[in-house]
Amino acid sequence: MTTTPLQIERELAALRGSAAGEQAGMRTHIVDLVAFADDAAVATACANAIGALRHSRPSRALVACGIATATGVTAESSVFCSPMQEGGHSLVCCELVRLQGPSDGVALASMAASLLLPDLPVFLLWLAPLDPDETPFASLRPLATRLVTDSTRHPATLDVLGGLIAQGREIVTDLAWTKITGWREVIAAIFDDPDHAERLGRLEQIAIRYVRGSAAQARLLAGWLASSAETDPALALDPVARDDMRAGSLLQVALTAGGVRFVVDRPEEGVAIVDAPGRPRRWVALRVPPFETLIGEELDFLTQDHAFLRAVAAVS
Amino acid sequence: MAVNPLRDELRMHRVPGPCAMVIFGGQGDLAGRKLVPALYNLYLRRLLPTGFALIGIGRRDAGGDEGYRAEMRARCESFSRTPVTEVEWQGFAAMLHWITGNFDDAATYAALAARLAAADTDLGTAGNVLYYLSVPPSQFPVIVDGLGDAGLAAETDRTFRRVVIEKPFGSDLASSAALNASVHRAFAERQIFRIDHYLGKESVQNILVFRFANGIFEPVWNRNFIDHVQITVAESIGVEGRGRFYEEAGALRDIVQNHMLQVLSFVAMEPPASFDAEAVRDERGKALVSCRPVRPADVVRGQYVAGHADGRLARSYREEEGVGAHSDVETYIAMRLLIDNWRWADTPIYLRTGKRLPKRVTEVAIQFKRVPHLPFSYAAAEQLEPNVLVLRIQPNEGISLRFGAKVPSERIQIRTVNMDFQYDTAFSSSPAEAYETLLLDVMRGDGTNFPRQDAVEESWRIIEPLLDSWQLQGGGPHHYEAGSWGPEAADELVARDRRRWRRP
Repeated sequence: MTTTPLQIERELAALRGSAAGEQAGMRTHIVDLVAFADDAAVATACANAIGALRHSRPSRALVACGIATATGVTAESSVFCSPMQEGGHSLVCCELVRLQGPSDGVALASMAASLLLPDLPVFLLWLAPLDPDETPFASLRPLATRLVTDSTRHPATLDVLGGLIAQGREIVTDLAWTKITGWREVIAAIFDDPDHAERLGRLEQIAIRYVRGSAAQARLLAGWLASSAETDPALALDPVARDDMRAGSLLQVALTAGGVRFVVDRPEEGVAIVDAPGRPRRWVALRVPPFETLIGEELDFLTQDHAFLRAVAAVS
Repeated sequence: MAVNPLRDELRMHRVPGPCAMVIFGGQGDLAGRKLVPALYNLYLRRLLPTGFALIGIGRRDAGGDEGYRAEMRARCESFSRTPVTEVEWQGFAAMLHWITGNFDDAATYAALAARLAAADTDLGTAGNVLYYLSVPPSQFPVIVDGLGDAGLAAETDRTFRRVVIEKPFGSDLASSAALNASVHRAFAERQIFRIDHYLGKESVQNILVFRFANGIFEPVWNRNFIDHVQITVAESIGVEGRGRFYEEAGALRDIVQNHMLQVLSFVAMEPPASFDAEAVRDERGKALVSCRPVRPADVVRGQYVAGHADGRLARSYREEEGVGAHSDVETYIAMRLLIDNWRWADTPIYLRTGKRLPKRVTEVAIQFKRVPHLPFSYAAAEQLEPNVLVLRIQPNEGISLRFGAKVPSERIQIRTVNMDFQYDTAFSSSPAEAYETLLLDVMRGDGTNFPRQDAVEESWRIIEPLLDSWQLQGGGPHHYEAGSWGPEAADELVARDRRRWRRP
């Protein structure tokens, strides 16, 4: 049955009250999150990930999905409460509303705008192909403080981002970038070593092997290295077929800098081997974080990620 | 040293440069409960440099590197805030080493020099070393001299040597000055980091942000608007097996001289010119310089007797292990302080701390003056209390403001209500342990959150009259029941000024 913002607000208030019981149920005051998916399965995965967040929970998350057969907007509300960290008598609650509506997205965008909590930053998580001029993106974009896209899933997005960033209207990032944070930490640690640090300025070649299906993570990593080192290295991208890892995942990064070769190799999920000249081979933990961790990491940032902007500019 | 441009960004934490950390007393309680678990968590957070080594030194044979690693793993499994996992532990453990030796034996320092040289070669620690003296203060001069004589305290243009010492920084002004002089025999002041773990707490550091990043508070943060300040450090536990230590220290030396006066310096300081370590420490030091030495008449000492605390029967202090049957050591202290400067003149600062109080809470309460004229009837405003701004340091870190509001009804009736900010609802990520923050600061060479020698000596100067008076005149503490808010005399202390303690 189609619904209205007022009905949803009433339902959320009732859910908050019953979830907290005799304890006080306090809503977090962090951010609003609007997620838009082009596929019901993706919307479900997103809603599950939000429910699984342990930290950085949005105050209110609206997960919207267009359905071809829908004639109006329907909603399914839930509330997640957990005790405060140091044994206080209150619960901290977050709200999740799943919205489904006609696939043109106009009604969904309007409903989402009505349900946003006041005075909080709005994160727009875009899990659909990105066309800046089309509704519902064009309707939701003005509300967004921060736009988070997913170019691993929709590789063409990476080529659109440069134009959006140039408009300077909101803070922009991409989950493909979030997925390579672990890789970037491992690579950065190589160049913390004073013996290697100055070689980065002489970066000559970047060779990246990745799982066939999306080059977004590999391109962003290469863009980050080239823009940070302020060099114009040769780039070799090598997609390979692997059934045991997700499409787009990085497998190996080899850098040639100052005449020597540094290699980070991920033979299997969870670990990487670091080979740097003159240093013993190191095994380090390197996990691809689950979806909820990726979202949680993004919700932690409210400022522009300039390294990401430089990386996008380098690959655009 | 070349800067790593890959670290210059939002998500990438600023990892300190390579270094070795040497813990004297590497098997001790502090090392096992706090230091090594903190380092393990820094490793998990990828905040330890790749070129890092941890070298424990102590008299007892730990069973070599492997024995030490096994012992520290057990400690981390008990005390780390993050569970120990096999893969991560193996990576961390490879950096741990052990040296058995006496601190007064030159051979110990020769072995240390050899181990540090090996760490430079094998682990890339680049010649940088920080020494953590996790030993009783009586051992400080021995170790400092040992390091100095072995040439292990000397820095070069490219390398640093730092020393970290734990409170107590002396037991009075003279012993504190003597201790500083002994450490200065081998280390310059800029190389010395005095740890007071309170200063590593997010909520203490937030006092500076709260005061100096918001336009609405600083204009009223002075004697014209503030009636008085109350700083409370209450613990519901007793001395918990630390009876022998506590008999030497008491609440005054254990809490007031360091934690409370340092927190007071954050509350009372003038705005620094920058957030640079020296600028902040200069202003905190000036606030302490302006504190009038406390008069014995403005102090109440207490000691708990048996009572119910945390819902259980608690024995008296004198029945605790390691405590003398006739001990007069204070487990509670309340005092009235005055700060002689333009901002705070004639505005009393009340401090109280104690063990076996009804709850564990640390807070700073700023009580504002009442309005000059209330245009409401007495009946309407009978329940109106003064505005109070409370900075809660632990637990449930946050800030609350109490103010009057109209009770909904057809007539005017005013009641005091709370406007509450809680870290949990605003940020929801758990803050790091204070030792993690402070160890990183030492590795980075950032002294902002460490008291300087002048601040330590100023804080001894403020309480010195009490120590003299107690020594000369004696006089035991007032008794209070475990689970109560302290002796009645403490209530009388503030009642003299027509004020009363808050109930946190």
